[in-house]
Amino acid sequence: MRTLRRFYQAFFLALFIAAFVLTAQGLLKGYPVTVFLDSSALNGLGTLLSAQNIAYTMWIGFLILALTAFCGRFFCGWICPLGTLFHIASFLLRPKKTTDRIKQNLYSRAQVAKTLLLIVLLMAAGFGFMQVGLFDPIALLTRTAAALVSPGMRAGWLLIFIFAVLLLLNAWRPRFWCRYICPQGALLGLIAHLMPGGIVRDEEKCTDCGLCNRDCPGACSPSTRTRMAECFVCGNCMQDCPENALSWQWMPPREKLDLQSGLTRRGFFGAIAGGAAAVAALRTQPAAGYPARIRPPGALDEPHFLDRCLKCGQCMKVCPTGVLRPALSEAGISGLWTPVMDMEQGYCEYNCTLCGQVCPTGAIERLTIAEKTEQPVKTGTAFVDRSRCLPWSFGRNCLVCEEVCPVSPKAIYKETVEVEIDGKTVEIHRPRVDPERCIGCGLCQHECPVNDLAAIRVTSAGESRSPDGSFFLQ
Amino acid sequence: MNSSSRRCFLQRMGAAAGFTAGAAALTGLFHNRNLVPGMPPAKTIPSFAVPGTESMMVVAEGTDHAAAVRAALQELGGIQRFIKAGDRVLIKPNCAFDRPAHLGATSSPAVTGEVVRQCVAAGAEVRVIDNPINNPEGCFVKSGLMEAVQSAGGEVWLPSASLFERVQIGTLRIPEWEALYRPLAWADKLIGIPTVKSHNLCGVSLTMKNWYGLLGGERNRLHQAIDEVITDLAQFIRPTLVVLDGSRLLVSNGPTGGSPADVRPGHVIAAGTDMVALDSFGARLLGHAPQEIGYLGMAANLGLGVMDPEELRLFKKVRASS
Repeated sequence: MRTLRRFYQAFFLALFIAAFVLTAQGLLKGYPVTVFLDSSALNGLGTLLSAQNIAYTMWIGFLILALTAFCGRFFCGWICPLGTLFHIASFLLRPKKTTDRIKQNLYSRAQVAKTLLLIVLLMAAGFGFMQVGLFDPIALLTRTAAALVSPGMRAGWLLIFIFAVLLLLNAWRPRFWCRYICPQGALLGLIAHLMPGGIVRDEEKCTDCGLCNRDCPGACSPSTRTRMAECFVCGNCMQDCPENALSWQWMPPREKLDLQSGLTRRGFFGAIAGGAAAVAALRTQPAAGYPARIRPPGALDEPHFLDRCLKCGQCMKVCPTGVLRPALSEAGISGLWTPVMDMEQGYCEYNCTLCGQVCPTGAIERLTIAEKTEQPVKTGTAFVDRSRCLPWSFGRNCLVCEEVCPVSPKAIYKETVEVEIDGKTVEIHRPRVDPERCIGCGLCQHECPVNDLAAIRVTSAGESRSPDGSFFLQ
Repeated sequence: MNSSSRRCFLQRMGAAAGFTAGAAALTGLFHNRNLVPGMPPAKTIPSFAVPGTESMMVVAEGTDHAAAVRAALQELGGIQRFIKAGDRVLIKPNCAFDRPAHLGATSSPAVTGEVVRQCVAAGAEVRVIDNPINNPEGCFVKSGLMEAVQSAGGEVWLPSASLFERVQIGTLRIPEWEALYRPLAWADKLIGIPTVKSHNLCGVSLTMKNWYGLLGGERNRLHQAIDEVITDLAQFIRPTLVVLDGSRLLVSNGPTGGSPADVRPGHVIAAGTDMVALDSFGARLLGHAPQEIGYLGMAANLGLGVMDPEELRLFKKVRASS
């Protein structure tokens, strides 16, 4: 059974890596690269609560949820790529002595933390504070992987640091994340109570040696009564039992299993209250906008965008110019790790809508090139900083911004003036922006020769996604 | 004082002296050493011109653009006059922007494909390169050049950081710059396939401006002296052959275009070796007198070519039958 499980884990990890690699310009040819994100029902449930909407591809998650009612947390034990990585880390970091390993894998009451977190997240999502993606295992893994490989993720070092800490925590408790934090695991655990079967201990045969706990990744206590909410259905305990005292049974007497999630009434209501209180974070959003909160083209208007964004980083991975990076403070507390455009890193490619093609929840709409360029979708507006601009401030010609402006007619036009420099009259072309035509792609800013703080910069003002985005009297 | 303590004294003195000498030697070695390595000397790029082919231009008109390319090359003496079997040919089209071909911001796939095909038929190994403003892969794919080059038997060489080195450029403004040195060093022959485009700053973007795409580094600074820089580029690159792609003309909103309204049909191919003559011809196509274009005057003054085609050694106009 171990070999079989490892085979499945390796297979799904490889599949995850393949889907991740295919999330790139030139490779993305209609492959369902969001399949793992879709397979986490937590994501579907979260967007259902916050946006009253589920992307149709999320049916996979609900299928897994339904199967969990029959087979338990097989997702955690056999499929989840994050779980597999933590499994490997736990294996590598495990103590030498059997007694120590058994001690590490005893059930801890703190494992209810993940269930509390689940309630907080779903509650908050229901009130429009959608942070499910922050803790979804697949979103977490995708985001971290994107931070690791993507050129546009220089701001992603913090993500990698967090992941490294989570990896190291496996030394203290194997699969620490899966036992204590993972809200997707908690959700599956609650459903697992419906299972018509379970791993049952034969008290006659059992010698209380504790070996069943030695390699129990979920710390589900097979040595007493198996806690079905914690069991990964890996089968290690049955294999490790020298007395063959553990076996799978259909419809066992209820008292043979432990069907408690560990959730107390106090904890439950506390989590409900906590989730509702977390919504207060929404009030940190400013009334207008953050200037650097420049969203990818096709992003829904900010409240609806935040209702759906999982912060999974798929858009950042696929972006061919690397302009997208995870937000730290640019989008407020609720927008942590959400994608923003950073023109120091790249620019929005005019004939490209890849970010919307890989967004699992529709936070970024799936636009065609024509829809993007003809409406047009405006992500912001470019502003000339005249005190830094070469023609404006130094009387030198430049006009790179106008040259690269991709719209037709160009949104940057030149104003030609004669300037007297050292007694000589020089013709200077100064750039000006037509805010009606500017789409906020940021190519001008990216190409500006003033290389620390560009002399032309895009801010989110005028973005077409928000109903009151334009700052002009219409 | 016994002998053993004398020995001890001498040993200690010796060690101290050795240590001092070692420190002095290390100081001498590292003293005043320039710890920041200097710029390595800039590389030079040889001329790719074939002797005996100077000062020629043939203009071929025709709605079948590949046929026009063939007709122009025929009048120049055939591709064999320029390319020998076994040559490594580097082709530089204009692939600067992420645009579909019909918008005229990039060289036409038909013309580029035909030039590649001719070179391959002459027994050459062909690689096509450009360092575009947008994402290189996106530019080659969406302009249709990737497909055209590959189906004609050539290879697209996407630029990467390791291909660049500092090279000597020109005498007016940029003596040295980062350029695609490794591809240029690889090549035996170099063919330019510029498009005919209006340009916001320098009037027209044609053959000489097309060599911008061989440069790297902080290219966005070059616009501050664009005419001098383009003239420097004409000193930097002496190509084997230029095929000026006037199959369509980008008459407005250059050099990026972006709307079909910016494009006019041109149906003309000018092939030759005199870059000033070719660019003067291209400027006229866009309604400019060559004298209006700053860099053409500078290049002509430096003797890099002639504005008046009648001063060429060979100048012909032909119609390609389609």
